[in-house]
Amino acid sequence: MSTATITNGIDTDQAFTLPPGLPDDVAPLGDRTAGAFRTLLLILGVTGVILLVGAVGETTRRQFFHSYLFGYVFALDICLGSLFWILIHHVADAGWSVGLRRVYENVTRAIGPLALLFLPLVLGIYSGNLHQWYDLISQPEPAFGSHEHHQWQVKHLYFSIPFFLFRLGIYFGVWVGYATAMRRWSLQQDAVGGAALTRKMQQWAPSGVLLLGLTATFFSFDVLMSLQYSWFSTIYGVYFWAGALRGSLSTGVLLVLILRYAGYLRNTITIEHLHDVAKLMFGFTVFWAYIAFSQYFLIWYGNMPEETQFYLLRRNGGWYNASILLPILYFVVPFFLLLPRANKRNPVMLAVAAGWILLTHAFDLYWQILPVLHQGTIHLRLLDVAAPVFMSTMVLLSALRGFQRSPLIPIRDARLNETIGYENETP
Amino acid sequence: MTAKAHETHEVAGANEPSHGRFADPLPRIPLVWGPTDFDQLSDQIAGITEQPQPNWWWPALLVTSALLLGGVLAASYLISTGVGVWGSNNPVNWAFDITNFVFWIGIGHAGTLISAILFLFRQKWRTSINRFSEAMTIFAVICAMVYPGIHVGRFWYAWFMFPLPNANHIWPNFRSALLWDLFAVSTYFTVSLIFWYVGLIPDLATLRDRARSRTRQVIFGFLALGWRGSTRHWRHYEVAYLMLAGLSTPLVLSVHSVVSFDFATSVIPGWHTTIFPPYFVAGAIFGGFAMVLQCMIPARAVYGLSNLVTIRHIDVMCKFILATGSLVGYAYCMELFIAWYSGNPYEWQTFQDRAFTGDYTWAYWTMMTCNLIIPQVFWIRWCRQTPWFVLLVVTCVNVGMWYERFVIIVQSTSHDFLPGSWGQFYPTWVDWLQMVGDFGLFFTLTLLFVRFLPMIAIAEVKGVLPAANPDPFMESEYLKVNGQYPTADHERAAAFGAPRPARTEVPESPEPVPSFLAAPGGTGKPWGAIAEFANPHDLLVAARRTREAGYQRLDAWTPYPVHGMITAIGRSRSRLPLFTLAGGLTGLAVAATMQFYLSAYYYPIIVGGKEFRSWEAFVPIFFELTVLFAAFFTLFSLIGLCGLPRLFHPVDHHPTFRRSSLGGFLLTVEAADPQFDPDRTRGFLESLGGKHVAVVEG
Repeated sequence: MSTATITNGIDTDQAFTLPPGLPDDVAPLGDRTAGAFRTLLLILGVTGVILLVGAVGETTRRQFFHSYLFGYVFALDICLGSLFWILIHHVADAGWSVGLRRVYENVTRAIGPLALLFLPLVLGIYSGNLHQWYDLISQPEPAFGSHEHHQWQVKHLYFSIPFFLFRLGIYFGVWVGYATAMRRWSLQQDAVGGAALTRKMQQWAPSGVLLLGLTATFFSFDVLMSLQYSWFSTIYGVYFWAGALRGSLSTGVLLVLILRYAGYLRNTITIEHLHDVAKLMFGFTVFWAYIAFSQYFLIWYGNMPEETQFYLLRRNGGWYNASILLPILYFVVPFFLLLPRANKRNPVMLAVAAGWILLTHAFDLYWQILPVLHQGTIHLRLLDVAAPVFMSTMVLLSALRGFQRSPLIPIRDARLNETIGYENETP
Repeated sequence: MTAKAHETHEVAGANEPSHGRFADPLPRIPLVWGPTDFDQLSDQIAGITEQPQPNWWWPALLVTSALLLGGVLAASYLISTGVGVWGSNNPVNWAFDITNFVFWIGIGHAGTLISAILFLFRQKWRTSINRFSEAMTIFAVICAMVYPGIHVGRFWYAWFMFPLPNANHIWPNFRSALLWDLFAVSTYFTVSLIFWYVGLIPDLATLRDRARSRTRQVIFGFLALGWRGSTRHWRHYEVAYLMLAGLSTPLVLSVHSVVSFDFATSVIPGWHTTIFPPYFVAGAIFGGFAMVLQCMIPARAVYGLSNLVTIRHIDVMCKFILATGSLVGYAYCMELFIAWYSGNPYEWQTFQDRAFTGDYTWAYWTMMTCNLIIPQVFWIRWCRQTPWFVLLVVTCVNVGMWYERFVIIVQSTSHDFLPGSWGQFYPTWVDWLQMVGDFGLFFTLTLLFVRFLPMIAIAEVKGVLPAANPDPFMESEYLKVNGQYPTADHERAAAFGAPRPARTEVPESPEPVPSFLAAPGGTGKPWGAIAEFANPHDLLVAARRTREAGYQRLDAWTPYPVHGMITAIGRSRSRLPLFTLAGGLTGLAVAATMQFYLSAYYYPIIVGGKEFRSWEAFVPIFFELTVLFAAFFTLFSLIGLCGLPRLFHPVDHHPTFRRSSLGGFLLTVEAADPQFDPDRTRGFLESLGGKHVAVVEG
């Protein structure tokens, strides 16, 4: 039995002992991954410099802010999705996913740094480089009764600077609060065990799901939907959420597969667990298609200019091909990749599917954000690559730090018996 | 205090469950409470349909059929006179008819959610309530289908709705939401019926094997298709059930989405908004759960089912109501928020009228109170675990969900774009009578169902009984940790008593079992040998030993699918999914051919300014026919692969064989096995601990 100390950066240090009988060594990774950590830091540094150069350059500034937003949302929605899986695990009193929960808990460590990384976006908005509603609300009241006036009347209230910043504060407060609390209690349980902390997490989780749903919706309205401020879609929050869930599931699978590849957790998080995650990936692939189709279909059928502008903008030049490719690459391909049971139980195919979904998820976000900047056609820039790499590295670093400092699974969870040796019962 | 440790029966041999390896500070509460075992469960559920009904049943049926008669009268009056007898007018062209249609379709969503979606998520508590809610689904969809049938006024033209040329080679408009509705609702009805029936087959066999009268035996014998609980059949059955669940899950989402398209594809403010599809689905599940509880709580009380539908089941369903109610509330807020945020004056006017200034604010706030505010009491545990209070809340939910449809439909149409075409809706007595009649239809069907069919899925509950998943415990320490109950729920469950351990002795046979059982009109040659075992664990071990002894053609007969038995008898996973896939692709091809050919080439018509070949509007029917064909292929391949119907079988002559659908576990070795020898095989089975061993004539 080894003794170690948890330093989660939040909580006071707590001693824990690994219970006997675990099929793998789940002690914190500690210095064993120092090399990987340095490599990630290097990538973070290189991409950070590229971003900085882009931000400083007069001609690349607008490009920088849009690329930055793209990379930022890619990383953030993976973290929010991970927070959702933690919360829903507690809401459902699940047993099979105990081991996976720690992976997600480590991913959500990135929400704190990401809250700070939002500040450049605030600069971008208020320097007029990002959202066009800033120009609208900065101008004096337009003539009464004009179309512009309808927009101004509503938007100058909704996007007024104090209210906007206040809202963002609430969003990040909720996310950081729940992510920190859930991880802290989970780590405390590693030390003390028992049912009290399980019940505490189960008591808090439902309110977390509710608040997370609301805050994520309004975040997507405020930051993404409002890129075309006169456009609106009531389903947009659900669309954002569907993408976040897909992105976070794929991230979780890839992290587990990497850990397994490196020799960890091989008998703890087995293909039986991954098969279940793969089923969820498949289910949410279909769910995304359902939501995406509902939005497109109703706007297409209604054919009203204030709504069709969203798809109209994505019909120009190369964006037209991108719009046709999106459902094929992001829905049809993963659908058939994940449909056969054999693929869901094959680590290689699963890695391919998860990687594919993450890439196409980024493509979906690119398709949502960048047409606003390049209205004619697609112009892929280095910054468009550097920003998501920078942000993903940020998430990976935070997660790796978590694995270095805490046991790889919740070692004294009340449902540990159900996750160790778990057998998938699907006929 | 005597602490007697129960014996452990591990079910899976290869991968032993690791229960008890680590500290278990929060033991799982069993899904079925008290000492219920396999035979007792069959008695409890099947008994309800076999004994005379309680005294209230006939008066209740009389009342509901009187209401139903009212509906029949209202419909007859409507058909003989014309739709003018309804209060629908201009601008409110749709009112009670569509409100009730959507209301009932919505009620019909909980059944499939519980049977399919919760099945995929392995929420095993669903087994106690899925049969009842599936039945409700079917009845609710029947209630809904009354309206498309009669609202045309001249219902002899109802066939105009079907994909048939009506006049001058004109086919129905495949770009119309109303036609999609027909496809969606009839597919949903068909697939729900298939799903319900497939789930019923093992229970129908139970009823057949318990039947005392020849009539019951013949009726249930035919309905059960000769199901005997063979593991070779369970092998296909389990996969078919999974396929049907996988098909029903998107189907249930599609149905209410398509219903929402009836409104959302228009450009009427209050109807045209992109969140409508998931919003309608969430609302349907919300209302459906409310109706399940509305019917289940009284049924549970009068039939004494509180050991099967425990207070924890009610608790979980209340949580679902809270969750889906909050989702519906989310959609209300999105609609309201975006109406304001969009800066579209028409949209905002509609919502201002709806919520603050119009003629229907009372309806809007009834809806808000009943659907969003009142269900929030379910955050409190007492409110979820007090049946009479739950009944009160779900009544509010049902009222609220009716008003939701009323608000959407009537309020949105009452104010057209120009004040000149503003109006109000006043229902007539025919509207009211039709609505009351629908409730009569629903409850009449429900009462008949409770009377004639098992309202709880017997075979499925057997699979979640503690006897099927034994866990070692000390009787005095049952559900306790360090001498204390961790939660109040543990204490309530323990009050029903500890589970009875699986029996270790095979019960006596009602008549002596000779070593060779002749069949009347038999071939004279043996068909095979039969042995009965005490419990699933013994049977599993015996099957494995028989395989190890070199036997190839063996089969295990069990009341529910026993985990690990398929490999124990030497079989692998069923290939049935390939048939499902083939069916799906066939359906897709049919839908594509039909719509593109008819709408773009055979008789092209421009509708809504869309191109002839625009694929978007064909997607709903692509989806529905894909699922419909896949479900039919699944059903027929299940029946075909199992070689059903098979009403007579040599094993039927064995005096204890019928226990295979009740509480018995039997093993057979067929004479076709190269190693089979009547005497040696019989001796071998006896050496494994088999009882009532006999060779039957083929």
